[in-house]
Amino acid sequence: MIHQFVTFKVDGRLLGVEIVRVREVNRVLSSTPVQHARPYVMGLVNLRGQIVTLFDLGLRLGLGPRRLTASTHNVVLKQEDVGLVVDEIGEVVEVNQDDLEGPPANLGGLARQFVAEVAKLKDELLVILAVDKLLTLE
Amino acid sequence: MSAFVNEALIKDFVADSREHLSSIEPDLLALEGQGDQVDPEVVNRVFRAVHSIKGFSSFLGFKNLSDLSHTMENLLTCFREGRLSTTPERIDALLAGVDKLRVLVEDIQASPDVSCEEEMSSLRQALSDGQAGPADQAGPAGQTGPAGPTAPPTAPTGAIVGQGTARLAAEGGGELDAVVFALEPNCLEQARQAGLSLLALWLDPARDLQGKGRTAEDFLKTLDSCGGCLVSDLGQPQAEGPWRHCLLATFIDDLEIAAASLDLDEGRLRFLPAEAALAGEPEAVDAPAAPAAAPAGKPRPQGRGQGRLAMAAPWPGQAQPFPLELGRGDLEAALASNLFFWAGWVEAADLGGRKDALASFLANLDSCGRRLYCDVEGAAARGGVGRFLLASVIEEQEMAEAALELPPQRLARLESSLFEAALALAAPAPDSPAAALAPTVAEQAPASAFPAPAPAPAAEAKPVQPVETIRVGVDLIDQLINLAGELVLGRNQLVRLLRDSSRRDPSLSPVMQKMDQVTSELQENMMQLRMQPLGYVLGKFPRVVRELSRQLGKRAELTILGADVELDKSILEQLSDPLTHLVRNSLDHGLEPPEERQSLGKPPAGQVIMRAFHEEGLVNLALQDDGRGIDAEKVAAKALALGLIGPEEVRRLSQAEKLALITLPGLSTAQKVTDVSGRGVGMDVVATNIQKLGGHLQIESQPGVGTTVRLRLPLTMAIIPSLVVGTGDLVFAIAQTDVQELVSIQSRHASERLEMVGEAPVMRLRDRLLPLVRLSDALGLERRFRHPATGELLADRRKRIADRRGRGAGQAAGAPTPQEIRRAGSERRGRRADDTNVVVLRVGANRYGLIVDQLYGAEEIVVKPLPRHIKDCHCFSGATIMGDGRVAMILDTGGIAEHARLRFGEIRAAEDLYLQEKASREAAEAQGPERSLLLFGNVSGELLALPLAEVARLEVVDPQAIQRVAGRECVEYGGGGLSLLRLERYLPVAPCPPQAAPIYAIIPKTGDHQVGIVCAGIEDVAVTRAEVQPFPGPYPAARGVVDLKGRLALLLSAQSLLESFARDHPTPAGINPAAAEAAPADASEEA
Repeated sequence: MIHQFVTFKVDGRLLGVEIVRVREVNRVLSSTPVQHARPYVMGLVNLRGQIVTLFDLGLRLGLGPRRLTASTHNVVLKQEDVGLVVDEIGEVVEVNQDDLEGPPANLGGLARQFVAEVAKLKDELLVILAVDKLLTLE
Repeated sequence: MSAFVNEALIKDFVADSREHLSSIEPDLLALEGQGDQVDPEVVNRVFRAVHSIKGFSSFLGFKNLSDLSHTMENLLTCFREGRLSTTPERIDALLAGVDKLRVLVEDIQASPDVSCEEEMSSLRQALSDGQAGPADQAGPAGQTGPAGPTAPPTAPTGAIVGQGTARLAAEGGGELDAVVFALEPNCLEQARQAGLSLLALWLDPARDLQGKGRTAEDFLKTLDSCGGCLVSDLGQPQAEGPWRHCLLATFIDDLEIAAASLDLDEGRLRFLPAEAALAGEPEAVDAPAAPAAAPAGKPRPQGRGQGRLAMAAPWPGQAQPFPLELGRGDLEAALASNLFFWAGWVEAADLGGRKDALASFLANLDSCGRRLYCDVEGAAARGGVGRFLLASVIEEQEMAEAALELPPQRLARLESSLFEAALALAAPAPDSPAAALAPTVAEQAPASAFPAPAPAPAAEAKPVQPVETIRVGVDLIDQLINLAGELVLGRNQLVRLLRDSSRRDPSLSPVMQKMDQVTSELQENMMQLRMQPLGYVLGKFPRVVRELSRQLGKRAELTILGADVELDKSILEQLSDPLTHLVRNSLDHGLEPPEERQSLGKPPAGQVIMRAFHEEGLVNLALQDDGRGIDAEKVAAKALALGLIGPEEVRRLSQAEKLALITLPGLSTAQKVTDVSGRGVGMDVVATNIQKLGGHLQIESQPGVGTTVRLRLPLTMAIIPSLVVGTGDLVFAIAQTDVQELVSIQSRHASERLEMVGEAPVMRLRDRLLPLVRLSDALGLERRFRHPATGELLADRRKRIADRRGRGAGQAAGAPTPQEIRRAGSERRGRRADDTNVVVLRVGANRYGLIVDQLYGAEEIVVKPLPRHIKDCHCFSGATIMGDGRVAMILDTGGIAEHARLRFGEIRAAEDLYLQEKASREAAEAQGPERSLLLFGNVSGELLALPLAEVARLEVVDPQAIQRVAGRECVEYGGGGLSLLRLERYLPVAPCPPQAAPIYAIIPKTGDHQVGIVCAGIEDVAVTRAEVQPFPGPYPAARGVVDLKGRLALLLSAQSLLESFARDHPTPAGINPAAAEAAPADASEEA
C-alpha cells in the first residue's frame, strides 16, 4: 500500500502529513495576533471568508519560532480550520507501507508525542506528524 | 424493529415532531375559546400534527409516543365530529399530552422509560366525561344534524341484521352467535382513521346488566367512556337469541383492559379488524357515500369512495400477476406523496403464536404506511396466504422487512409507474381526484407555523396550500453566508481594480453593475436564511399566560403584536427563557388579583402586551403590563438595605437607574417568594442573558399604572453594529450594544479627570467614578504610540494612565512623552492623538472605561465564533473580517473587566465616599458661601472685616507722613497720592487712636487704588461660612455682622465706603469713573 505525504521543512527538518488531511497549501500568512492565546498560535487569517488559526509549527513541535520569509507557507488542514506555518514546502512523497517505521528513540528535540511514524527516504528521514495530536488542546 | 431504525431517521422524527408540537399549542388554545363551534380547519391541523407524530413514532417503535398521541387523537376526533365541546379541562388534558410528547421527543432514547399514564388517564377522563355529559349531547345534535357520524348511546342508528359470517363465531368458541353489524361506512372509516379499534361485544342482559346492577343506559355510557358505541341492539326488545350486541370504536387495544373497563368477561369481547368488516361488504364501503349519510358541514376525513381500480400486479412468491382492486383515491394520494409501493404476503403460520398476532401485524402495517389492499385477516382465518399492498415512506427493502417483521422474500417493491399506468388506462374517476389528494398532501406538508390565524370557516373546504420547504443544516447555511460575505469583499476589490479600466472600455461597466447588484442581492437573501419570525418564540406565551394566571388566581389577557418580526435563529432560541421569566414576573408581581383591580377601577383581566418592532436597525421587544408597577424608591431602598449600593449613590440615581437596580444579583422586592418568581435571581439572569445576545434591557414603570420592559436586540448575532477601535497598529471591534458612550479627554484636562483609587485608575464622569482599563494593558501589548512627526510606532513606557497628565513622570521614565514630541515637532496637529479616548462600556449593572489609542468609527461586522484553540482567551468574544479582508478580534467587555480584575465594589465605595464628601461640602455651601475676611480694627474689642477678595493690598502708613490736601488726608505713595478714608466718618465705629503708629491703609480692589481705608491694626485673616446678620441703622457701608466663633465682626462694604468718600470729596483726586459706575449697582445689591 502506498501512502502519500505532503512534505515541508521546519528548522531544516523534513516533516510530512498525510495528503488526505491537507486541504490546501497557500501563502495566506498576514495574520492577526490573538493575545493571551497559546504561544504556538500565531494568529488568525481570513481564508476566503473562513477564519483559519495559524500554528507556528516550530513552536508547536518544541522547536524555535518561525520567521516569515519568502518561502514560508501555510499548510491548511482539512479536519479543522488550522493552518500549519512551515519554512518551506516540499514535494508530495509516496511511501510504501513497508518503509514506514515507528518513531525512533532520538528525534533531536522534536516533541515525541507529535510524531506518528518515520520513513527513510533516499537521502533523508521523513518525519510523519500525528495531526490529531497537533490539534489536541492540552 | 428499532435495531434497524437508523439515527438519521430518528433525528428527522425528532425535528419533525418538534415542529408539529410547536404548531399544535396555539391551535389548541384557539380551540379552547371556540367551545362547540370549533373551526374544523384548526382541529384538522391539530389532528394532522398529532397523527403524523403517531404514525412516525409507531413506525420507529416508540410505543409510549404512539400510544399517547393515539389517545390524543381520539379526543381530537370527538372535537372534529362535534361530539365534544372544547372545554378548558379537555384542552388541559391535550396540552398536558403535548407537553409529555415534547418531553418524550426531547429525550427520545429515554422515552420508553417515561410513564405517560397520568396524561393518558386524564385524556381518557376528558373523553369519558364529555360523552356522558348531557350538555355535550345537545351541542352536536344541533350542529351536525340528524345523521351524526356516531350514534348517541340511547339511539343507535345502525341495526344488527341477520346471521352473518362464521368468522367471528368460530373464534368465539361456539357459545356466541355470529352477527353482522350494519352501519354507515363513514363511521368505520373514521374510526379507522382515528386509529380506534373495533370491539364487538356480546351481552347477556340478565347476567351482564341486571346481574351487575346496571341498566342498558348505564352500560352505553360506560361504552362511550371507552370511545364511542357505533351500533347497539340493546334498546331493541325483540331481538332474537340470548345475546345483545354492541360495536364499540375504542382507543383501548388490549382485551384485558377492555374487559376490565367494561366489566365483561374477556370471552364476550372480540376485536374486529376494520378491514374484515369492510372486506365482507365492499360495496357498502366503497360506494360513494350517500349525501344523507355524510354528516353535513363536516369535512369528510378521507376523500375515498371515488371508485375502484382493478388491475393486476406482479407479486412476490407467485409466478402469475395477482389481480387486485384498489381504492382509486388512496392510490392517487399515495402517488402524489411519492410513497413506495410494497407488495407482500404472509401465511397463517407467520401470524400464529400469540393470539393478538394478527392485530399487531395489521398495526405494524398501518404504522408503516397506508394499506391499499389487504386480505390478511381472511387468510388468518382460512389458514391460507394473505396478501397486502402497502404505500409507505420506507424505501429500503431491508428496512421494510424489519418494520413488518417479515421473513425475507415476502416483500417486493413495485414501481409506481405500474400504478400510474393502470390509473391512466382506467376510465377517469367520477370526482376530481384533487379533492381526494388534498388531505393527504396537506398531511405531508409541514404543519403550518405559528401564529396560525384561524381561517374563516368558509375556507374549510379548501385544502391547505402547503408551503414548500426544505430542511438544511445550519452549518451549510453558515458556510454559504461566509462565502457570500467573501464574494462581497471580492466584488469590492474587483470594482476598485476595474474602475480605471472601465473608463477605457465602456462595455465593462454594465457587467460590473450587474455583478454588483447580484452580489448584494445574494448577500441579503443569504442573511434571510437564518431569520425566523419571533412568533416561533412568542407563540408559546398564550399558553404560559393561561396557565400562570390560573395558577395564580389572576386574570390576564395577552396580546402579541409583531410576531412576524424576524430575528436570527440563534438569538430566537435563547430568547425564550428570559421572556418566560419576564412574563412570569408580570403576572406574579405585576398584575393584581381581579378584585383588587376592580376596586382600583381597572378591568378585572390584566392586559399583557408583547410588542415587537424594528427600530434603528435593532429589534425592539416590549413587554407591557397594566399591573401595579414597580416603585423605584422601594427598589433603591432594598438595594441599599442589602448593601448593593451606597446611600450617596442612591441619591444620585435617576428614576430609570433606580429601576435598573432590579437587575443586580440578589435583589428581589417581592414580599414573598412564590413558585413562580421572587427569588431574586431572575432579573439578573435575564439581563445577563440578554446582554450575551448582544442586547440590552430597560425597565420603565409607573407605580399603579404598569411596567414596560424593553429589550433591544440585534437582528442577528451574525451581523452586529460595532465600534472599531485600535491600539498600536491592531484593530478591534466592540459590539455597539456594549458601548454606552465615548469620552475624549484632552490632555490638559487629564489631571482633573483621571485619578487613582488605591491602585486602580479611575475617571470622573459626571460625578461618577469610572474604573479604567487600558486596552493594551489588558491584552498585554506593548504600549505604543504613533510619532506625530514621523508616523512610526514607538514604545510608550509610561507606567500609569495618570502619567499622561504630567510631564515629570514621563520624562523620569526616560521616554519622550507625546507632549515633548509635540513641542519638538513643528506639526501641531498631532495634538488630538494625545487626547485620551475612553470607550465607556456596560457590563451588567457596572460600567467601566476602556482606553484605546484610536477610534475608527462604527461598522457592521459579521461575527464569527472563536476557533477552538483560542476559546480560552477571555478578552475576546469572537472574530470578524474587516473590509480590508484582515481578521479583527471582537472584544469581550465582560472578559476584559474580569481579566483586569476590576473591583467594581471598591470603586463604588470610593465613589460613595466622594459623593458623601461632595454632598457635605455642598450642604455647607448651601448654608453660605465660604469667604475669607480680613479682620482689622481701631481699638481692641471692636472687630471690623472686609472680604479679602475685595482688598487689593495693604499699606503701612506713618501717621507723621499724612498731609492734608483740599480737605482730604493724603499720603504720598508710589509717585502719586493716596487719599485716606476714616471709617468713623461713615460708620459708628471707634476712631483710629491718634497715638497709633504705624497705621494701616487698606486699599480696596474697587476704584483706582487711590483711596486707602485707615485702621489702627490688622488682626488676622479668617475663613468663614457664617451667615451675615443684618446690621441695623442707616449705614450703607455696613453689610452686617458676622459671627466668627463667638467674636462678632462688622463686615464692611468697600464699594459703599468708596462711594460715600467720593461724594464727600468730589474733587480733584478723581474717583475712577468705572468705580463710580459700578457703585450704584453694588449699592442696589446691598440694599
